[in-house]
Amino acid sequence: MRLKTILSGYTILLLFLLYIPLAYVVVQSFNSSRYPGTWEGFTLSWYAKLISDAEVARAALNGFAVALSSAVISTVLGGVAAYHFSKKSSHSFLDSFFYVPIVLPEIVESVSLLMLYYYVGAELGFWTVLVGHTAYNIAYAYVALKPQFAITSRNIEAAALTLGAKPFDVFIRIYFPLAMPGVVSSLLITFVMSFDDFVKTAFTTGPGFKTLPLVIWSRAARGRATQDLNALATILIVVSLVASYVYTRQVFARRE
Amino acid sequence: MTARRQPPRVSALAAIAVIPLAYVLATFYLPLLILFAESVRWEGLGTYSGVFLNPDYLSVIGYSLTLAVLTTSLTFLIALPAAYHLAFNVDDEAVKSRLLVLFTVPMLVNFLLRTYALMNILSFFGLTGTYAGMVIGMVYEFLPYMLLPLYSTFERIERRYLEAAQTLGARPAQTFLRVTLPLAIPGVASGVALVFLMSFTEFIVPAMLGGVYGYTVGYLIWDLFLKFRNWPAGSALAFVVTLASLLIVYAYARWGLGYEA
Repeated sequence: MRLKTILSGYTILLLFLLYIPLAYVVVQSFNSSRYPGTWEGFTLSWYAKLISDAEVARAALNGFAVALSSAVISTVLGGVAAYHFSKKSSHSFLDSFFYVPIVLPEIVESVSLLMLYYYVGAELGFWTVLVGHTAYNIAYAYVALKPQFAITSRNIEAAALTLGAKPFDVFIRIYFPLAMPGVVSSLLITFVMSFDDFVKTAFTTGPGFKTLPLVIWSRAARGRATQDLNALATILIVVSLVASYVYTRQVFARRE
Repeated sequence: MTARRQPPRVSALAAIAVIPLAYVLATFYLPLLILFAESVRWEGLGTYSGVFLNPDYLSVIGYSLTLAVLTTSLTFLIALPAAYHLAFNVDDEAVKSRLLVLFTVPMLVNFLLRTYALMNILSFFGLTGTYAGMVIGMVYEFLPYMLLPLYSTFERIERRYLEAAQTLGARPAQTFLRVTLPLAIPGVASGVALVFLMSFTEFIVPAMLGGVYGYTVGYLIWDLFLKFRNWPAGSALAFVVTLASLLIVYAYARWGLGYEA
């Protein structure tokens, strides 16, 4: 009984520690002190400074364009694969086919893709970044959507077909609406994966095309935290926390 | 079912389903082939002996191995009690699923951001640029990757075995060490393998938090490609990492841990 209490406290403490750094950045971004640290009062001036920062604005726009395109493309493509292969009973090979891009260290993926681009003579920039992000995003979309399609009862499909629906209608009218939660979480997670991506972007982008993580990297690497970076990080953290919360809840809800 | 009734339409759908496969093949698997080709292009397998016999590279590899072992052990020890608690002590399913979600969510917040966030705290304690700070960063990043596989095998252990052990007079510690832990080996193995591999190749955390201690294999691969332009050596290193990762995916497929929903 006592051990149980200790373990319970330990688990909560661990969770707490996982979130403290994120919370710290959020709090500091509203601190009027010039450097992160002691609290000197509430301010929004770091956000104001951020908005007037042209490099940040352009990087945000770039990232948004890539992430939105990648989310839509990969959810459609991953969804098609998930729909098709959720009907097959034996699929462990295909599951592995899509899991490898998730598990492989990103640096390996990135250097390989860089060489592909080099050998086909692709000009590095928006398109190469988009293609690269979409490669692993298809895998994430597949993982998010396949169980969602799989739980739709075959009886419903059989009933629809008996009543004269065409297979395409079955997909659009039955599978797709029922898989809607999965579609939403797939769009969210692929958007965030792309918007947040650093390593792959760093390897596959060309001069002049920067995204926010690249800006953070070039300003913070081996340096120190600054308040306007904290404001930027806060925006990104809040966006990813919300998106990944929705996505994760979806995944765990399906397990039960 | 549909396939047998209306073959032509379904084969059209199957044709569409080929597109994502082709996409992933072209932008993920083909580049891996290029990676291998590049590594053997000039000197054959000699590139590999060149890399793995070069004392400079070897010392980076050895250094990363040490860091990865340290990170993995600490992560394991820290995650174990919490994973155990979630699996065996939390009976309320709603609470459990909420806690699991909370442990998983930070995993999906970008690495760079999490590391940047941690850098704030560490610099508050004067720990940036130190070995300890870097290790804290690694453990912080990888904790959920250890916790979740551990939890999922604990969760699957038949409770009857534990009851049997108790009925037969085993003390709680004995039950844990001789029944629970051995039954959880697949989860331990995949958590350890995953964290080991990721921390071995990790580049952002050492670069941002490690200062002079931050030169790891991930950093070396980065430099070989972007700074020294030694693609064959970089490819050889990266390809070895790939093989190790594939082994881990194989383990996932084999024991069904982790990603399946």
